[in-house]
Amino acid sequence: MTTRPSRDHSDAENSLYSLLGEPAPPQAAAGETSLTATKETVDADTEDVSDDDVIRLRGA
Amino acid sequence: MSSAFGVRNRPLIIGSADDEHVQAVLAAIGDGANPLLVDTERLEDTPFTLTADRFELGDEAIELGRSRAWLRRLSPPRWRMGTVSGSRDAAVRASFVSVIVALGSHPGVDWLTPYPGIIAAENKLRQYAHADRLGIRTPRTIVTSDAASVPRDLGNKLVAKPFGPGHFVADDGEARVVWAQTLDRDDERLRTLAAAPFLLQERVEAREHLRVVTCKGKSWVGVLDAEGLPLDWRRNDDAHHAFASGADEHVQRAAERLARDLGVGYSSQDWIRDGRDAVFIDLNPAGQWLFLPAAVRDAVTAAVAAHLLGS
Repeated sequence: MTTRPSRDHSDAENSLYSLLGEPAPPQAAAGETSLTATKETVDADTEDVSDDDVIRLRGA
Repeated sequence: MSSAFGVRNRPLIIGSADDEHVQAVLAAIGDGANPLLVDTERLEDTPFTLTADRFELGDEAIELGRSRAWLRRLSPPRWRMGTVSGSRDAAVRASFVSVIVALGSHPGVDWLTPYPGIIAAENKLRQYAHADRLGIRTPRTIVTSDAASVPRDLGNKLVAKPFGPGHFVADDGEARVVWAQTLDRDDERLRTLAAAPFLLQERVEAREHLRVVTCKGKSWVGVLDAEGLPLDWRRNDDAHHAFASGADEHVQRAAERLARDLGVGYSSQDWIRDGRDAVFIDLNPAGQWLFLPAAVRDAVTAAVAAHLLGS
């Protein structure tokens, strides 16, 4: 089996996240409870749950 | 005061008492329902015991086989933020989250939407696959690492939006938001698609933005005039408060069918009305509703409360 060499993740600096990301408006900034529609995911700030957890639960 | 809700059937809410949406629902269900409120932060600060069918938190307890529940947020903003992936702190963090996930996916609990359903429904391409099979119009969309692969029929103006989170904390510690933006097909920035997958879509010219909230087979609509607003209306804070209460039989029935097909008991959906008809844009299975007009806001709050009360 061939494996790919470990990737240099510094290319994230040149992703659209870096190029399009803008300072968050105060009401949407992390650390504040928000009524706006900017952060609407169940784990808005985090990578809370490992893929293993989700896969296990989906398969349960 | 005596209550009809005891340890065997009290409502369960995963979220924080500081969260405005939780506060609104708590006010709607009243004191007598005696809800148990928990998230990762409270779990850290309060003695607890979890077995297959019972959860005890401090001096509160709930039998999981009979309760009705709503998952708002796993943890409050910034909870254990900055934890390095794969570290011991990350393992500790994940262990607390696993407790909440065990609750949020418990098969004996009548969840408004169980946790696995929320996570699965957040994926926009999955949403479009469900919409397509229901005959619901969606913007033509592609995710690719190579901008040259974008079909010509998406047009020369492409809407780029994150396929992952729409916000992040930059290296300088400041919060960043990535709004949906229009890019020319030959924009140099599209050469970076291999570094992070983004959604690319045809641009739909909005006359009105709709936020359709569904809850247990019912729906409510907020309507926002698109004139003068940026492509992504969320950029404009005032726009949040410019929605009017509306109704659209066609869109509402479609939104309700889509929520049912995705298996979510609650959804906040974004639709656009262009010159032709309505286009489904995306769905948030844990989205906000309190910025909408009172008629919508109060009805949604009451619907979530009704689920928790079993009424």
